[in-house]
Amino acid sequence: MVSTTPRFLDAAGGLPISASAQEFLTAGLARAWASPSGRYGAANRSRAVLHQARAVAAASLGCRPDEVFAGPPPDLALDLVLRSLAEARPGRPVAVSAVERVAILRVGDDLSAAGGSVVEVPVDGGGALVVAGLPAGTGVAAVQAANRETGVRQDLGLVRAGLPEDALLLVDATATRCREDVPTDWDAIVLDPRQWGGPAGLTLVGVRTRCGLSTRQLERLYGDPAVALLAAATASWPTAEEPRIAELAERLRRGLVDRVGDVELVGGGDRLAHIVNASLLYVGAEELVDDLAAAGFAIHSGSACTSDTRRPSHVLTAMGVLTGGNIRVSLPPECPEQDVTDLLVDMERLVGEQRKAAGV
Amino acid sequence: MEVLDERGSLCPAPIVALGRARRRLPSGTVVLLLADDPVAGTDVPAWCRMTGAELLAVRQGEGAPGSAAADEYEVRLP
Repeated sequence: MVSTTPRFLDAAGGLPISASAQEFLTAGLARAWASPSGRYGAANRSRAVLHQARAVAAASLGCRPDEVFAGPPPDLALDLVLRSLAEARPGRPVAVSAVERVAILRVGDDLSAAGGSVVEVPVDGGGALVVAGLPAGTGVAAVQAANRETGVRQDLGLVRAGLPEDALLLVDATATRCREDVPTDWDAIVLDPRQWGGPAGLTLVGVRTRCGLSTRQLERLYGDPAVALLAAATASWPTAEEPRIAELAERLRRGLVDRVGDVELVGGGDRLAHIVNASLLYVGAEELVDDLAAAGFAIHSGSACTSDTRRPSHVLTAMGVLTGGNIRVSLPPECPEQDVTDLLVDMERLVGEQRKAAGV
Repeated sequence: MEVLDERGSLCPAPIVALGRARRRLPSGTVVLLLADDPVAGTDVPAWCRMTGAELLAVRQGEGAPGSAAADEYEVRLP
């Protein structure tokens, strides 16, 4: 169906800033521009806004306000936090799941190159961590709350039960977008406000006192906190996903199986509601994604041909699923049903054309 | 043995070659796929799993480190 209206179906890539976040940000920039460490009126106002934002975030994260920080953007925040936790457990194995974000895996590579013991724990075909693969005596584990490509949620209760009592658990929750999807059993946690239409440029970071990080280590994270950004991020953070999003995602999955066919739905078990990931046989993802973009649909792919590095998503290879013809469709919060209907129509047509031309 | 020479071709071509062979040849035929696309290492086993084909053998190609020398995949078609 030809349409000039752009249909944005790559929510997991980050949403545009919402109207409410923008209002909170504008108000915050006017009220909380001064450094909270000053000792005058404007600084006192900033401090009050900062305290309020930390209290709001703490209530949803299940921690104390003084354990909440405004961190740098996600890759840097995850890097800093994991390195800091590893410093807090010297000489102990570090475990990272095979489906963690690249920023986490790179820290693992660095620690390993420096002589540390780092284990990349495999996942099963559905994307769930093989908890038995956690090394004995693990000091630090980095396990995501949910995967940004597949939506697969990790069972962090099982993970915790497989760890020593004094292990520090870093939970990458940067794929989650509402408060009810946030786990409360973590020692450090990172969230990305862009997932819910909050402002870009910061992360919501929780670090529990039990991690034993020094002031110097924590200051790497927050320095002089971006008060207005933090306030806009916490104020615009929604509580729950609408049930219709899960239904719409399920309709898309059924359509891919019934109407497009020769498809592997990627990711089993418990998933975030808004993410659909699938790999299509005999389809070139680059051509499909570009043709869909020309038709007005913005979607993502984990296939090698759509990546700058010409390598497929490590998440897909870790799961052993087909990497060719891979698509990720992630629904924004008020996604019109018509967008999914129209996407299926165009996908059926474009995939059919590719397969016919290929003779399969 | 039927040889599918997909050296130099990139995803999805090696998998398409398997799909076309499956249409063309009787069930149970063993084919030898030659491919140097690194992605084939993941995708050929995935294709077998999805279609019920049997991956009989994988032989990694020899070549200088970093070069994509052809790998060999022996597959029994479903």
